[in-house]
Amino acid sequence: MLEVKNLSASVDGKEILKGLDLAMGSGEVHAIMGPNGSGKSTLSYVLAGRDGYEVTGGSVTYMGKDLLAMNAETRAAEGVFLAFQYPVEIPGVSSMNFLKTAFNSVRAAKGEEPMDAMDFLKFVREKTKTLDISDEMLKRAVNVGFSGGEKKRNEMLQMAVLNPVLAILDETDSGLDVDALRIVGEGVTGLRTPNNSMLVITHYQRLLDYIVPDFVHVLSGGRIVKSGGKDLALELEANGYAEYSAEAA
Amino acid sequence: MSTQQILPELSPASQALVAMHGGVPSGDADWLAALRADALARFGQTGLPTPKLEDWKYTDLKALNGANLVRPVDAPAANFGGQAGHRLCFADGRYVAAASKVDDLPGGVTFLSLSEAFMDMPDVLRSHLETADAGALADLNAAYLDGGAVIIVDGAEVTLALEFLATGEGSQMSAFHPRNIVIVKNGAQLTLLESQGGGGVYFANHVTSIAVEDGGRLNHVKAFNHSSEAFHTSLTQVHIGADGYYGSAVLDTDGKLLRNEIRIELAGEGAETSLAGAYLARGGRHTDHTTRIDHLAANTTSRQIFRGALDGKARAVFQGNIVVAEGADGSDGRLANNTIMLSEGCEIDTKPQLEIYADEVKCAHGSTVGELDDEALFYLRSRGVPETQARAMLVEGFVATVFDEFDSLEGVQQLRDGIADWLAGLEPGA
Ligand SMILES: Nc1ncnc2c1ncn2[C@@H]1O[C@H](COP(=O)(O)OP(=O)(O)O)[C@@H](O)[C@H]1O
Ligand SMILES: [Mg+2]
Repeated sequence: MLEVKNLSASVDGKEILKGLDLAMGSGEVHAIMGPNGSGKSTLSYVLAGRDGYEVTGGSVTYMGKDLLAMNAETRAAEGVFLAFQYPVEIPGVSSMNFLKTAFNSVRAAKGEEPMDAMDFLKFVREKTKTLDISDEMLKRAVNVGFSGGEKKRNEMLQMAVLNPVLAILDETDSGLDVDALRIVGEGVTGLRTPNNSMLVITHYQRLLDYIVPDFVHVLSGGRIVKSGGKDLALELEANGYAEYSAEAA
Repeated sequence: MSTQQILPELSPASQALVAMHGGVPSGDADWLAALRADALARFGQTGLPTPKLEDWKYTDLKALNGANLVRPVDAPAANFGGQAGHRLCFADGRYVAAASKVDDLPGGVTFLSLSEAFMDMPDVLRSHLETADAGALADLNAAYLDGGAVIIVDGAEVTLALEFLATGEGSQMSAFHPRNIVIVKNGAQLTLLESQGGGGVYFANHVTSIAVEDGGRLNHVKAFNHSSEAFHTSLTQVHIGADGYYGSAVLDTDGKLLRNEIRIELAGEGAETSLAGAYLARGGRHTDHTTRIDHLAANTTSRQIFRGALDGKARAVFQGNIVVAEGADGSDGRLANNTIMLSEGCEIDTKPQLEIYADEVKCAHGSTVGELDDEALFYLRSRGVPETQARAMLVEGFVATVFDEFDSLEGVQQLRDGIADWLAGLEPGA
């Protein structure tokens, strides 16, 4: 469902991805691990379609379509979702309004009618229960004054509402304490279906205890330098990335 | 009045405004005729304000020079919204009794048109008008004094509405000068909903004089939705007694040139004011929000927040001045002005000022000018929200918060809706 071939990309004229290859099938969970600065977030932004991330080579095919030809909102409508490493604050826009607008935008892009406000509220409440998100939090402006854990839970709520085909989780586990990690981990696990694929970017093994990957890739120096099964994550946890950093350099 | 001399150095628009004095209504009381004549004489000396005046440095009325200025016709046809509740309606500044509703007023509430008030309570008006001295536009307003409302609330709590509609048609620019006089007595509470709008070409020069007496409360909700051909100047002067409160929530979304000036005197100990304004401008419109707050007594409080978004070649001016007089110790004044620039061609002049002559005051002012946050825009788009709608959401979130404090008031939802309406016309970004 996703095929990244020899992808190169630069930001502000600096080349960060340098010939990255990655293939994901439907329903698969892939983990990407790698040292800080290796290009993990850059990859997630390029896949989500952020302006300013210039693709200088290669291709990305998603569900048989050229992903790179779509703008960010079209990608979202086609089922691509990025859980941000650093969720953005949006003053003056309530979380509820944000969710409803996002949800109905995606429906509109598919030619569907918007969901009525009462039905949507019910729909959201089903999702908030497992994520321990209160109605009060939904009334607050998006991520404004949220704790680190609240921001990440809010990302998971958006993911639950949008029900993506391809979810990219960029360090969703970072900055979480054990309880928050459990909530997020179980939340993500609950969203897994045979048709949804996940690309889980993480620094640590611990999120992978909840969401067990089919494949693990090591990203270093803008390329995938090693791929393996879930045991590779344990190995990385034990030995660190020193070996791969050296290889990249 | 026919002996009025017109000074040759006046601008064409000023000359035209003086020359139309034949249109002053006849049948005035002597004191009123004299007051008009004096005001016109003063205006004839100064003419319209020009950028030579410090207060008018950034707003130039010279575009009025090319206009074919006329007095409005006597009974213009206007289509009022027919809103519920007590209201006075004005077409081109003239009172329209048929569209107004003033029956069944609660006790302690006086609510009538200026022309009726001249007959019913000339002394009250006379003392108000003779003490007013507020510059050339107020003089011009006094010279012509079209319709307007007289409101006195005594021992009551009430919501009243004023609706001003302009009917400008064709190439003639009708110039009219509404005047409102509002008195909120000790302990009374008034919510005043004012809407101004219309179509076509016109010059509306409003003056509103407000006295909030000790312990009175007035919330003034104003929606300016003028025609994109219109010139609009508005001066609101407020005198607040001890422990009195004046709140103002203003939305300004249209009009070729608009100047909304608010002057507040916090005259009694513990007096308080809170001013919120939102301005949205596109095309070539010019909008100017100018405030001056005088803290004249001890322990007085002022809050001001004005936010806006500019697109196209729009130009905005914000001038906010907090003056704390000698002896007004313990005053607390805050002022913020924040503007988002949506295009390269727009422009803002922002000038927050503080003058402090007292001790132990808490005053703060600040202004910011910036663009939309790229990250926030991407965040919304990554959730499927199309770019133009995402920009609109960000602007709305940024601007509409100025009204949060007023949310419990009737009429504020209308201001919020007005912001959304303006944003519905947002063009795709560059
Ligand atoms: N806007 C930018 N301009 C220049 N360099 C950037 C920018 N964003 C990221 N980088 C650089 O790109 C590299 C990869 O960053 P990133 O993708 O955030 O790594 P990771 O998520 O793996 O920690 C880093 O060296 C970082 O400093
Ligand atoms: Mg990162």
